[in-house]
Amino acid sequence: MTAASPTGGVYQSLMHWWQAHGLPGWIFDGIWMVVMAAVVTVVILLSVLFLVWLERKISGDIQSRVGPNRVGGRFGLLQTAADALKLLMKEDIIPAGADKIVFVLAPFLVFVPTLMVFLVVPFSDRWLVADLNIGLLFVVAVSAFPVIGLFMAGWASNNKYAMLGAMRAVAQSMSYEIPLILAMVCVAVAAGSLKIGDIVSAQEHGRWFILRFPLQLAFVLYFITSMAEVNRVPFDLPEAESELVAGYHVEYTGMRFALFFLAEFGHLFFVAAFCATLFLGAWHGPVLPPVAWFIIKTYAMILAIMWIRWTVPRLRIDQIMGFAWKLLIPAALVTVLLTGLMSVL
Amino acid sequence: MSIGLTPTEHVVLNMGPQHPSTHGVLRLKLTLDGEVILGCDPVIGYLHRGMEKIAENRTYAQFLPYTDRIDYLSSASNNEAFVLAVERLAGIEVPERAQYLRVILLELNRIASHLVFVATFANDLAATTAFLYAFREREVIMDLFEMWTGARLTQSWIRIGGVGSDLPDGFERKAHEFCRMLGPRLDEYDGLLTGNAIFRLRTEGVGVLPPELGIDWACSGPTLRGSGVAFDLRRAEPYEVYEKLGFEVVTDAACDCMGRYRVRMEEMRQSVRIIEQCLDHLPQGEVQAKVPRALRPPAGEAYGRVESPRGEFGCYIVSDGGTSPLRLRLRTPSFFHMAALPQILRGWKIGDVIAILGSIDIVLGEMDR
Amino acid sequence: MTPEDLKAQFGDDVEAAEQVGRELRLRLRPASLVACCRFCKERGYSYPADITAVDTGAEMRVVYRLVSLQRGEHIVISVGVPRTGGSLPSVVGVLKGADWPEREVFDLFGVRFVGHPDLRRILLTDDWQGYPLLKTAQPAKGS
Repeated sequence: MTAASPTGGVYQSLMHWWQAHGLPGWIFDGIWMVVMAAVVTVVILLSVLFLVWLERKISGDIQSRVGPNRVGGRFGLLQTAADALKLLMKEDIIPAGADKIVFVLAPFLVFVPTLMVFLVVPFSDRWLVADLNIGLLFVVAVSAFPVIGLFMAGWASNNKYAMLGAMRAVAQSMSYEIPLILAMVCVAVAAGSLKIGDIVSAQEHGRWFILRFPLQLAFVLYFITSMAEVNRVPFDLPEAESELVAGYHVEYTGMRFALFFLAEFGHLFFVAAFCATLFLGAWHGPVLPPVAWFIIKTYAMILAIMWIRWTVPRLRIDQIMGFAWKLLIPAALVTVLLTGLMSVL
Repeated sequence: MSIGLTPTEHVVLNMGPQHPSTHGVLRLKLTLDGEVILGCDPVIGYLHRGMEKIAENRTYAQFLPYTDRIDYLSSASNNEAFVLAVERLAGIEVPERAQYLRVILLELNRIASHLVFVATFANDLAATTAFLYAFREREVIMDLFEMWTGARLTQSWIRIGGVGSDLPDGFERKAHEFCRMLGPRLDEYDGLLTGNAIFRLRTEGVGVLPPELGIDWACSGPTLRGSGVAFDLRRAEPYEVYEKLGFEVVTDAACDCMGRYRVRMEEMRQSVRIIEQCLDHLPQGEVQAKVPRALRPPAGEAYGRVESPRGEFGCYIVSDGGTSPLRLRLRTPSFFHMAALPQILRGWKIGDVIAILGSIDIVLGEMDR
Repeated sequence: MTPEDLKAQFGDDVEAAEQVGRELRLRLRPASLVACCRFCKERGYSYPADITAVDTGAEMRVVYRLVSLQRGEHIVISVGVPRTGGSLPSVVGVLKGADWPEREVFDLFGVRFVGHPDLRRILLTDDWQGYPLLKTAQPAKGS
């Protein structure tokens, strides 16, 4: 019942076939890793393309307008592809005085961790690339990386606005990671393990964690802090368009900018998927195939996040900091305490 | 071993001239200590078009379309100030029907301008949805203008001696429909913005303008009324038929961004009241007085003041008896509000600059002329 | 406030004073400018509605408009200045709102205001030559 050997059947049978031909196992492992990385990348990129289209359509709906409706038929489905193509063809400008190496590296440091973290997301009962023993810790560690990339981007741009955006991003990210991690700790305590597989199996038969007191608080904490981690309104100060003119990535053009953009939506997808995994029972659900449930729950979270983004204004940086330190962290500590109590009672 | 403070420098940050939130080409040189503003030096004149000089080389009728473009978001107010000064100089009496029509046009312009304020103010604070809602309502007003005057934005319909033409068929019905529709929509904005905790955090207590400071620096309009000073030219020095109309002078004692925002929201409702009264009591008559083709007002000077959506908009004309003004001075509210801005900004943070600048509602066209 | 009050207070410096509608228009000599502004401000005309200049070709004057918000009355002070090299005492000490309008009069007409904290061009670029709103400065006409 657990995802103990993720894609296990396929891996084992292919490995046997490989070794039956006398070829060394480690080469197969290497090839397998590359193939898996490619699969994850393609799946995530396609999802991100879809998500961008979805965001534009939903924002159009909320704002009583239509959204994309020309490229690719009545619903503008190929709009994102067209935008990506346009970005690819743009001139690649590196500002004079910019720190070239850091400037070029920064987008990758933001994009790659966003892909890496999908290695431990269970898309269905058989589709989980690597069920690490320390899955939750892996997620926390890898999610911390993009902040470094943001700061590198702001620093290397040789631009005061970018620097301001970068500093805000670092301050915000670090402050909101604490309640985020504490919320995840509650889940780990409730499941008794850091392994994603165990967390998923602890929620089978409708015993979703969100129904378990006091994990509702953890859910709310996770939801709010993950919006801050993804830099979405009301926490989008690092990129605050109307104040900093795109903040930390203001000097990036073409494909480099596209990488930041894709990373943000990839991160959004991850945060929603992980929320579904930790609190909403992952792929468990009656009747429909598991992957369908995964998609339904993930997109429910995404819709909620988008709805909030298009409704509320933006907070000021000191208000964001105050909110994190004075409200969320104490609340998170209390939640951890309660979770601990509930698990021994 | 002594521990000293790390020396920090004051940063000079340039906001503009290209910036999404300065509402035009404006440059603010902000001296910052971290995120706190120590000083602000506005650099203006990017949109200076020499309007006052141009006026000396045009006849009075020729200059009228230029006045639209001064404060292009409420062009009728500019027309009105100019036309009031000329009519005062030349001793022209405007027929009563034309006066009512002028008030309808002025108040529709006021609502349109305030809707743009709500839209841009909310958009600067990242409540993008309110931007689109307000513009949706404004489209109805633009349709009304187009129906009547043929132009959406710069109507040039308030002319020397009257208005360009009478109301077309169906206008009164559409205008009544609009007035009925606007109230509930404004309630919608209230729900979306005024009560929103984040919006309130960003605007309450932010950008305080004490009333004495406002008067000292010649602020006017909603900027001054948001600090509790009940100064509205429509009541203080009534023009057209404002004396006969019932409406409130909206003030708010809060003195902050939220106060100024609330004043404009309520003013929209008052404007609806005024429009409905005008439509109901519209007298029969001419819409244009007899004005000589080549108007030569006698030598002298006159000052026409109107309550534009931004404040006191004045047109000071000195005539020497010729067909062109000897001197035409445009006293625009945004110029004086921008002068007061450095006083208001000191001590606030960069994020507040946007909120405060937005709440003062400047238009670069009228600031620079 | 009546014309007689001002004549009584400032004597010969008041070259002319008359009431036209809600405006009390007076012609003043520069020496009493600051004192007159202070005098008016203390009597409720504290709103510095506008400061501008008028170049009639024959002469040039700077016009100050002080308004009493309570009474809805204006005092319009005209002070004569030479068309080139003219200067007046700045009234910024009395009316803070005079700061920018005085800068604009300097920018467009070339009148210097003695005692102004920061007299520099405001609408035109810093290196602009000349004062465009003078009658002698005609706009360039296209061919």
